[in-house]
Amino acid sequence: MQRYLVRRALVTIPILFGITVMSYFIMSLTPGDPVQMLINPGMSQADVEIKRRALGLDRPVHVRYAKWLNELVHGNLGYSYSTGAPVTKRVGERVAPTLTLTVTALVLSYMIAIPIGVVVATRRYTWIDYAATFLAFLGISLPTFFLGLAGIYVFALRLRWLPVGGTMTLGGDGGLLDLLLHLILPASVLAVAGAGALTRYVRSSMLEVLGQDFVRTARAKGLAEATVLRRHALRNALIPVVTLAGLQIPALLGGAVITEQIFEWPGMGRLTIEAINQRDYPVLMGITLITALLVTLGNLLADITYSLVDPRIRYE
Amino acid sequence: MKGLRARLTGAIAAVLIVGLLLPAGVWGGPKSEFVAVAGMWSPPNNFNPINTDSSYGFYCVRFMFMGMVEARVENNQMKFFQALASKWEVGADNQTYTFTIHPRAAWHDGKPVTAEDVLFTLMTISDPRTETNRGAQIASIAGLDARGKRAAGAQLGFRILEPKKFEIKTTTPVDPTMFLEMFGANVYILPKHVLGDVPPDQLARHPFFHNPTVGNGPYKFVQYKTDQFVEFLLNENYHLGAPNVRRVFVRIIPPATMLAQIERGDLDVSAGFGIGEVLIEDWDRVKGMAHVRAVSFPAPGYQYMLFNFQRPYLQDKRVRRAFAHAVNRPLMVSQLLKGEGELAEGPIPPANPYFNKRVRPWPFDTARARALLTEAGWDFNRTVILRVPTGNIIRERSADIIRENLIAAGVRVEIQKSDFPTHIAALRSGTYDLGLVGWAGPTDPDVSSQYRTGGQYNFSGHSIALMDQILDEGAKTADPTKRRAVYDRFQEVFADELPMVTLYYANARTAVTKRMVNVLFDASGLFDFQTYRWVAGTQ
Repeated sequence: MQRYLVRRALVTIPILFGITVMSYFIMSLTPGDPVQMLINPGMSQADVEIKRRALGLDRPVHVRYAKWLNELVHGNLGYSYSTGAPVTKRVGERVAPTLTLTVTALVLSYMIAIPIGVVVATRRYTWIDYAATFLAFLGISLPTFFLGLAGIYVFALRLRWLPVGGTMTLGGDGGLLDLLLHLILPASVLAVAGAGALTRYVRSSMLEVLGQDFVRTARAKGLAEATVLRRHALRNALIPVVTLAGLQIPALLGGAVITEQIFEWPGMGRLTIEAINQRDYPVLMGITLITALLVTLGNLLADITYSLVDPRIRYE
Repeated sequence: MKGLRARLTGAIAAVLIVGLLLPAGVWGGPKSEFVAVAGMWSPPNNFNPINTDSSYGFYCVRFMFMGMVEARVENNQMKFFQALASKWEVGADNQTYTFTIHPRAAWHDGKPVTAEDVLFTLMTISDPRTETNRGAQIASIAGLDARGKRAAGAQLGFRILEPKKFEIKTTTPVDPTMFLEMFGANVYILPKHVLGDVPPDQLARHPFFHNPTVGNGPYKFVQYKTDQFVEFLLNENYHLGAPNVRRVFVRIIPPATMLAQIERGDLDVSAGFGIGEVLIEDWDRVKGMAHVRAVSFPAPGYQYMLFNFQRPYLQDKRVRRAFAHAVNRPLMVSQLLKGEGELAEGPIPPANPYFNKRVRPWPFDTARARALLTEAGWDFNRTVILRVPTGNIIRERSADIIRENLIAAGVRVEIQKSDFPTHIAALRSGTYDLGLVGWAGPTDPDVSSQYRTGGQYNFSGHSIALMDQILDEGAKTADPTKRRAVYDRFQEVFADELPMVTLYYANARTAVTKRMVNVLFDASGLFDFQTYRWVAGTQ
């Protein structure tokens, strides 16, 4: 096992290296550059040239990459072109708000999808099933943009129960309750959008399991239907659904661009869009690298967990 | 057991109901007379007074850092007001400018603002190692080259007369209004005692500009919550008087939800022209709100369509005039802007003191356009590429109007849309025929950077000898009356040569709650003029 881990860790290094090379060079091919786009009547031609030099943009791309890599080896992700702040700070300050939003939304969407999925699977082709199917497709097809604005209109503007956006009340001390109240709308919007598809998964997975022999056996034993569903069917039906959650982990950190935008949520999605719009290459490289690292780690973790859960899997 | 469960359920329900009702009272908006909230669309990139690269950054900077004066256009006249300077004198030669810093002007840490700080700021901006975007503002000062940089060994035209009094010499005599706007109102002073030891090439990355605790303005920096808001606290020692409003928040609010924030009363002031406005589709609704003043005013910016002068077929001015006739600009103002805008033929805004009223826009006349094109030998089988940047919805819609109008005049058009950096790259590389861009400049009418041969922002690459000659004359004429005559002439020549077609001057559409008093826009159309005089009533 230990040898396996060491080997996996070693393999990760060339993978990450390859990712940085590819992203850096592809990025350099995008039209437009971060200094050229600065249009300011106060800025003289000399100012433009100084900035270009200071950011190293006067060098060819392979030299820039070598310099960036050298800094990286020394633990420095560089400085944002647009703000001048260290990339680690710019990216780092987004991690907590992003995860707060996306993880809450994920948990919420499972809380919505699992009960509904189970209920409709047991009452297939009844009106409940059709109603749930209708709602699920509504959830899938309504853009989060619309859901978000509709949510703001109803809950923030008409009922005035919730704030329009942000993560804390202006001038307030913040605190958990304050954060929760600001979290409700954006997390619900994301959850509703995600729950639609998930409900369909739970329903079909549940249907499949309900047709299995062991369910018939359980029923034949004379177990109460609730017990059959909860103990025998649901547990097995959830396996593929939980795997799905695992696949969503990198997306969790990527954030939710539109929802963040509408609700003034300081997440990773917004940073990514800002960085692209400003051609802020160091920040983009930072995001790419950290995401790549997390995906690789996530995969490794999943593989190890499999070996712990499933005795048939052994790593040499 | 059953009873306990029921009681527990009851208690949870009660908590939930109270929890839902409680916030209803919490979010009534900022009603306190001590708090005001301004809203802008995007976050500031940093708070560097000489380098923040957007109006968003400068809007925040101006709460904390002042220049010598503040500027505002009143009754078609550029007016200057005390900021750090309590007095300024223009020498008879229009070349010597003496400023006296207010005796009580001080940094937020209590140290006095002195002529040394001003000198330090100028030395920093003119240092060829400093990342800045203020170079063009100081280029007229003696000892600097035309790009605002100091050659090795050059002596800056700056003399400290007293600790709080200094004199600046310009290379040649200049229009005092120009100098006061550029240096006086647009150069914000840095604290020498804080930043004096930082090497110029490392200044742009200095943490101070993310936490500028030592400013000289009416408000002190408290915190910036990334992407959410910037918080300011009053500077009770501000030399022109302590602000009335204790706390100011500048919130970052996406255009789509600004309406909701205004309606709820969560927002007092939309930041202003180009950075925090009411969307055109929300404008009527805002006008109907009882607690809000919907303020629209002529802004110093315009949208235009430029021609690629590398294309031989666009070098004939009859062709360019044909395009001006072909485009239905009145429709853009009446439909796209719902009447909130004006037309003018040229880069000097109608609200600008130098605007030439006698120059009228070429009328919308498809037949005339077609005739001019035929006269110029236009190839009606040619397809021209119209490049449009995404992001400004009204501008994108105007592109569709332009396309239809040009087709009606017999010109085939292909629209190519891209994001802004790509758009600029395309303009710079000349892979287009027509391109849409917006511009907002200072009040001073010197537009050489855009319209002179080889100018920094001369995207179309045009070179018109007569225009160059007039622009050069305007830049070196120091006498305001003579200068006005020069720019009157410039606008006439401009309308004749048409290096670009001015599409429209959109009004700034802003909202200010009625409880706010003394909220005025400055020369650039932003609500950051004399913020220490803001008064917030209760509502």
